[in-house]
Amino acid sequence: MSSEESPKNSGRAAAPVQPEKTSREPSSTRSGSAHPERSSRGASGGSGVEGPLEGSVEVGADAAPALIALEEIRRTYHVGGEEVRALDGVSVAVGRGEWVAIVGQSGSGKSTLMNIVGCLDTPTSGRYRLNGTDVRGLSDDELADLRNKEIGFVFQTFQLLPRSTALANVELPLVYRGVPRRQRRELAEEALVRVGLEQRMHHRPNELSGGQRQRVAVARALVGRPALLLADEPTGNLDTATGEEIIGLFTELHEAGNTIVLVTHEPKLAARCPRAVRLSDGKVVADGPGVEVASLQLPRAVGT
Amino acid sequence: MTALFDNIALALSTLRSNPLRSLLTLLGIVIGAATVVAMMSLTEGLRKKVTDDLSFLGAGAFQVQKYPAIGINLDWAKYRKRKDLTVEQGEALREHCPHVARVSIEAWAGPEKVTALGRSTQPNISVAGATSEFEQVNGYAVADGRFLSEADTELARRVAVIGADVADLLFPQGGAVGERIRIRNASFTVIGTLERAGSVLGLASKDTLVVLPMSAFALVFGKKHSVNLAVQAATPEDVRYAEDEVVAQLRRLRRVPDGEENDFEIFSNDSLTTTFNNLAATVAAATFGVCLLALLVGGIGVMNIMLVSVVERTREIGIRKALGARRRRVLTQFVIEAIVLSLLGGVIGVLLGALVAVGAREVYQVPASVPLWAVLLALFSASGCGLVFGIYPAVRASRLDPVEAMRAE
Ligand SMILES: Nc1ncnc2c1ncn2[C@@H]1O[C@H](COP(=O)(O)OP(=O)(O)OP(=O)(O)O)[C@@H](O)[C@H]1O
Ligand SMILES: [Mg+2]
Repeated sequence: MSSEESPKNSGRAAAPVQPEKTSREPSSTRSGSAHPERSSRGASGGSGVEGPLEGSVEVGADAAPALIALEEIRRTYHVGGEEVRALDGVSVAVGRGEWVAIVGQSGSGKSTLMNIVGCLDTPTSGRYRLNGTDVRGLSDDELADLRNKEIGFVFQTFQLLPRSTALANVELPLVYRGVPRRQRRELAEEALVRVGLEQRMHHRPNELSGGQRQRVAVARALVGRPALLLADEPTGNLDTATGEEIIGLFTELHEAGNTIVLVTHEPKLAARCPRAVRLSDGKVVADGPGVEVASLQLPRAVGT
Repeated sequence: MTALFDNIALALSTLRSNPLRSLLTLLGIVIGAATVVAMMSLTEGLRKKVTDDLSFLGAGAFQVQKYPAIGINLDWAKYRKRKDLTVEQGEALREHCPHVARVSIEAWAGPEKVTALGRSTQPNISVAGATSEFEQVNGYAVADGRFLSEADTELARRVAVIGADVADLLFPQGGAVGERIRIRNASFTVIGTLERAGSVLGLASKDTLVVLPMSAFALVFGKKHSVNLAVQAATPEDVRYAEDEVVAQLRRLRRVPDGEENDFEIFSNDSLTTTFNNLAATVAAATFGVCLLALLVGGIGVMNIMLVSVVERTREIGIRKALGARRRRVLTQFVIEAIVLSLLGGVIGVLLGALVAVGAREVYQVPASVPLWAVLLALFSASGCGLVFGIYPAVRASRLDPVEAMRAE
């Protein structure tokens, strides 16, 4: 499959994907411009692996209020009389334009956190302000609009409509935004071209490989040009080359000023993110530059 | 607008993904709509035909008789006790009612079997004892020969005028005039045949009759008969006055005390049509009741399938909500789906009902025509049904929590 994909990939790399943005060299910016910024901030905090509160205070001290401000978020599930604390007092702040990786072992609460950040779920206790507004005060419909217009979500399990084509799936957020038919078709096609699926637009999810489905999910998250992109393991099913393409896309978005929160199991990927937050048993155990958070926990992750 | 089209397109695609189940679900609605259309078409057809057929009395004519012509739940004992209408009363009407032009005095017997030259009719022939006025007042016309004359009556001639069906059966080669026919062992010479007159509502043929002079009729069937009086006003506009005069005259002759109801029935084409229309309306109302029941059953079917659909598509709903579908949007999606489903059932039902109506027209000679309002009524009721029964499942869908819904299998 990768051999089949490679010519397309090279073709895609040649064409600028976002014409309105000044295209910088993706490889150079990833470690060049974004990373030093985070490193300097990490350095001022001290060791680089910090307590969560410290990190959030730091971002809160910036001139603009944080885009995502989580304070003491708890999310408990009750399963058969037993209490499961999926999130146990998480406080994280993410500034506008940041790119944050969330890492942690399976079951540590990453997806739960993403759902709350994505306004899909509400915390059992604690406060979540998105762009300064407490989401607790928002109605069901206001949350729906927020998800539709401001947030792009790549779900861990893709969550594609099984009976709809890739194109129809990608169109979906635009449908609920009220974009006219023709325009949303064009935008959806554009998004699918961006993830390298121009040959598979009219296929249904069950006619696509796992990696292709994942790319459809990414295209759907990108199509509405959301300010905040949440991706729960967006490269989990992809080979290195395709995964790299997706990360390239994210880099472009990041450079365009979008905020990205990305869950990943791959230490290499986390290391490339300007900032990473590590969860363990529903708690933030590390928050700092991606390289440091990823490398610090690497031995333990291998050990278990 | 885009949203509406999107929802309809979505509804159609879900129907297509499960056609058999959708069809089975729709059975109740199909039956309901089909019944509405078929029954309304039939009654509407009958209503149209009735106006023609019940005009068996000539223009400006009305009928007086001892028993009512049509009706339901009649108390026959009451009518049997009435005094007979007599030939003398009929003659008195001729004399004393200025707006009356003609009175056809008729005695009826039958059904009888009529034979001629080794051929025989079914025993379904009505025999009338009549006078020369019969032809005109009842709107018949002579095809061959002549009608009864006054002389025929006065001389009690053994002659007969026969209806078109009788002529065809007994004299298939034609040439009935001058031949002899037998009724109850009495022999009559055919002096005329009548033009075909059709039937009343395709049921009672007006061509299976034999008309004898009143006097000859009495020889065969006896004199003890209440006669019918078919009265024709001088002009159609005079009918009302003629009716008043006839009623007054008969009450006097039959000594009906003031304040008591007539002891005879009087009706015209119009009043018959009205009576029939009332009857038809009752039937239509009863039918509509049955249809509502079918629609209710159909509606419950729709609700059931929509509930199943919501459960099956929990994940889909979760995804839609996660991507920004508002509650109302999910609600309308499912309501529209229920309406489209029901409307489809309605359309199938209308086609089926129209087919039944056309079939009835071919087989039973009922002039069924599918009225537009019946089609609209059927479609409207069907979609109304979808709306009413689709709301609850749709509300359930719209209230789903996105995270939980997306977790569903
Ligand atoms: N709906 C639920 N009901 C009960 N428990 C739940 C529910 N959702 C999550 N949990 C529990 O919450 C904890 C965190 O789950 P979560 O899905 O956030 O983990 P994760 O970090 O995303 O793991 P993975 O890397 O495997 O995706 C787990 O222990 C899980 O069992
Ligand atoms: Mg997860």
